[in-house]
Amino acid sequence: MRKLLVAILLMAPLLPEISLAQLGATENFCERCRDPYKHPDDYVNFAYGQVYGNEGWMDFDQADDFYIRNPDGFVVYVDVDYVMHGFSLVGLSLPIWPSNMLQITLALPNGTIYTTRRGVFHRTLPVPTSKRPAPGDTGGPDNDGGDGVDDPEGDDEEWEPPEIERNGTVRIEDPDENGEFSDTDWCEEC
Amino acid sequence: MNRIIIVITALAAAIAYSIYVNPDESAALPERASAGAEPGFSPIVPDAAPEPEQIVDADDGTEVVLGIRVRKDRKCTVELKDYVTPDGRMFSAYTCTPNEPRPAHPYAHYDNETLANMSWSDAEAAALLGQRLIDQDTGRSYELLIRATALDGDTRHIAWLADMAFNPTAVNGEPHVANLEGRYKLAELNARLGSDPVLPKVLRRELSSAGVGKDRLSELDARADALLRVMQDIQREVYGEVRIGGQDDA
Repeated sequence: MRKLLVAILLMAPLLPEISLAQLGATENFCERCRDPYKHPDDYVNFAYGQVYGNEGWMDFDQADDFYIRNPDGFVVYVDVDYVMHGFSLVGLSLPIWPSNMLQITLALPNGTIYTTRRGVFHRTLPVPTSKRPAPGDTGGPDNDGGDGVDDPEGDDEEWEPPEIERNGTVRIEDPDENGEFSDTDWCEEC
Repeated sequence: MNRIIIVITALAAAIAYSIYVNPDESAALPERASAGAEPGFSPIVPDAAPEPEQIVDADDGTEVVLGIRVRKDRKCTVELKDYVTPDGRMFSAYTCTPNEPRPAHPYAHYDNETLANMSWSDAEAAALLGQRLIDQDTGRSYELLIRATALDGDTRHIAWLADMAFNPTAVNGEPHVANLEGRYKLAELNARLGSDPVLPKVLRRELSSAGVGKDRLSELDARADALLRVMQDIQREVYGEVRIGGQDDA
């Protein structure tokens, strides 16, 4: 009896934490995320972009877990954690410090738990993960609709290349105080 | 003694319950009025005028905006909008709209054939084409991203490949050994190029836990060595010298 009471006493401070674990989870909208059963990595890349990369905006504690909703109303629960590294003694591993790798776990609407990893040094990751073919590229499998999933942007119009300066104009960029040039975040999906 | 423990337990349970039924307001998703919406009219119905950000400053580089803690150095505007799904369900969700669009990649207008020609000596072209082909031709993408790293020494090309080509690492708790092996090989290659040495150790431990034997791990190490030699060959061919992997034949 005493052991049971002591166990409850020790666990009591953790109970509200456990019960509130998902209560503070916000809902974020991902316009480009597609069907989570066919394209779960859309949600993984989107989750990464909320926390890391050049477009990160959420505080890591806030982004520890949250929901992602797509335009079709699919709701995916996301848990973002560092992959921990530490000592290993006699088969027991003792995680001590975080590595440069995130473990992103998705709980899909049907209950499937999808786990994968992302390094923390990416500038941006593509959402959706499958990109449209480059202009003039007619070879290879159809990347926009070959798997039965429509392009998330829904535009069937001909792809227009972005306008760029072509008249020999060169933008001269100055290095910073350490002599390093800034790491431009190109829009590689553009 | 028992009575004291019982009293303390009861108090702790009462405190836990009171916290549970009165959660911190900042942790809860702010409610938005949803009455009056016309479901099904449009798949997405943003607010007519987004609410201005309500900001509460903090000293740790974050601030509370619209009820959630966000980074001060963000390059986007936090908004809470209402949406309607095609089947008429309404929901509120946060979004952060970029303040400025990202510049288009300088090679974005090139077709794949042009990029393939440029990629012999241009790391950016090899990387861009490798990223374009990741779903269409993963083998070719692999080759191009390895080449991009050989040309400019940026191990992020290989890290990108590992993260895009080898998913998932587990489903319902069951490790996906083939993907973990693919990631391990590339992490080992990156470590040989001077990148994070911890990552292959973490993956090696996971593979061992998943039942992958030492012989198989040695085989993967040998493949990482083979990839390193391929990169050295690329450098020798393009630059006339090897600049990576501890070999210098300049």
